[in-house]
Amino acid sequence: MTDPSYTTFNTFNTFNGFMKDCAENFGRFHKAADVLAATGKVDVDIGATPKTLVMRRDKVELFRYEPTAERTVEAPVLMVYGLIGRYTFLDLQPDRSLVRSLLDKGIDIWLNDWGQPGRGERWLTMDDYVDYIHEAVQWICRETGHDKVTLLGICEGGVLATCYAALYPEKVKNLVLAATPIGFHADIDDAPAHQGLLNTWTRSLAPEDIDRIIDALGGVIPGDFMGLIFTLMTPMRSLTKYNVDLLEILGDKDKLMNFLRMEKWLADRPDHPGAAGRQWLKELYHENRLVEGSFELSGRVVDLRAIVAPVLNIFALNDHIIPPACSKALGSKIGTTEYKEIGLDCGHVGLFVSSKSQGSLAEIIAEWLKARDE
Amino acid sequence: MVEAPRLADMWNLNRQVYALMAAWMDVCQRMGVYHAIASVPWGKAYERYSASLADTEKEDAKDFDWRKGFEAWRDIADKELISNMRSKDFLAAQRELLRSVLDLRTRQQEVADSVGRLFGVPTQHDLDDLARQITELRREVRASLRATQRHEAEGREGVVGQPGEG
Repeated sequence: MTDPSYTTFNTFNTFNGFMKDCAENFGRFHKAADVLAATGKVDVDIGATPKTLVMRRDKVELFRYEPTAERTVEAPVLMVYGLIGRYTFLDLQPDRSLVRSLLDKGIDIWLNDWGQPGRGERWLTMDDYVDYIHEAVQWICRETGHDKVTLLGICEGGVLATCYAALYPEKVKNLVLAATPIGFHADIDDAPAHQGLLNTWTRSLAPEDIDRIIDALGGVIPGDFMGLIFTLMTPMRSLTKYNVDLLEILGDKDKLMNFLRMEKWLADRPDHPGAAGRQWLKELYHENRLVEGSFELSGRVVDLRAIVAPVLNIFALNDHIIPPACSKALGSKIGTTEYKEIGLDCGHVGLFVSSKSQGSLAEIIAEWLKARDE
Repeated sequence: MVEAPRLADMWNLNRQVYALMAAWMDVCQRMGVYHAIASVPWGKAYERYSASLADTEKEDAKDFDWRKGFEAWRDIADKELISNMRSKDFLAAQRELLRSVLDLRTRQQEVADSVGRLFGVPTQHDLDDLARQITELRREVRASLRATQRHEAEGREGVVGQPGEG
């Protein structure tokens, strides 16, 4: 138990330290104001790695990135992002870009950009998006002369890539997944409290609630709505982000710019097509059909055992959105014997943009692909 | 109970506005319940934080500054908030609030559609029907393109495979 005199000393010391910090922060505010005034649109550009539009179908665009190094892996790699947030997350800034890192390692990178789905896309299903992937794969094969491509799927995009690999195994050379949920109930018995809130909340709703969300909110899952849910999942971080945490970085231009780029990506959250959203939440989150072997796309069952390509499954050990157990569930379900899983010590966002993981994720992927490039 | 027939074009808008008001009152009630449950972890966090301060060792008290104190507070509050967000009471309150808000949104849209129809403005349903037709048309176009490409590919393979050719 503390001596009361130390409590008084403690309180005075704390207050004194706080006032001193306040004085220092005035200086930071001035500096930050200068930085913000000097910041134009160009400085907060994200997704800026040069690429060429090669095909457009509806709102979906296929891009090929400009190479930055001599090719080390011949098989082209198609990046498949999800419908929650935009692909620019993978290319946030030059020193925090999975895209640039892979290009610098001599990988031929292609990307499907889903565009900005709105109410006009409310009837698009996961079946349609897998069709778009198939069209992109065929285009890439025609352009490059390869029979197969490597798919690199991220989060929901990883689920789409996995479904494609199961439905079209003859077109997939390798399957690389990052932070991809496969077993949507795997967190029930095996997740720390701060992981899997999304799973818990979704399971607490009735299937009719999912339908009502989509029908009442314009036939889509609005980007703002999804953003709010993600904010709620990290309560204290969200509450302190724009005050206490911002104070820490105001005086550092580089950190402030990093912050602004991340904010720009967060603000660019398109709506999720409603029909695909129903499948995602009801058939996967609720019914876990993928691992149950009853998930159907375009009239065909997505049989994970049909995946015969080598699989590299990367996940974040501290992922609060996709609990590691949900990603690891893939290992026991696929047909290939060449399966490798790697857990990195970071969070969902940190897996792609943290300074700690920069380089290591691209290194792991590139080395694994090189070993399988024939 | 047998309902007397209602003339569809009489008092419809009034009924919809009444339903909208009832939905709004339901939201207010559910919001109150939600706030009551959502505020519980703050009290628990304060108790835990106070206890942690009371247990501060003499040496630690000397080095104490507001940042360390805030970090400790943030950590405790985060754990309490997340624990609360997993509780049955919170999940039930969140679910009921969500349902009431969605009901309110649906009633708003009904009123907006009714007013829109009065002035000949296309409703959300009209636009959704149009979007559905376009989506189905696009699916047919994509399927047709795939079939054409498949036939072309099969045709090329067939030509290559003919006897006498290299």
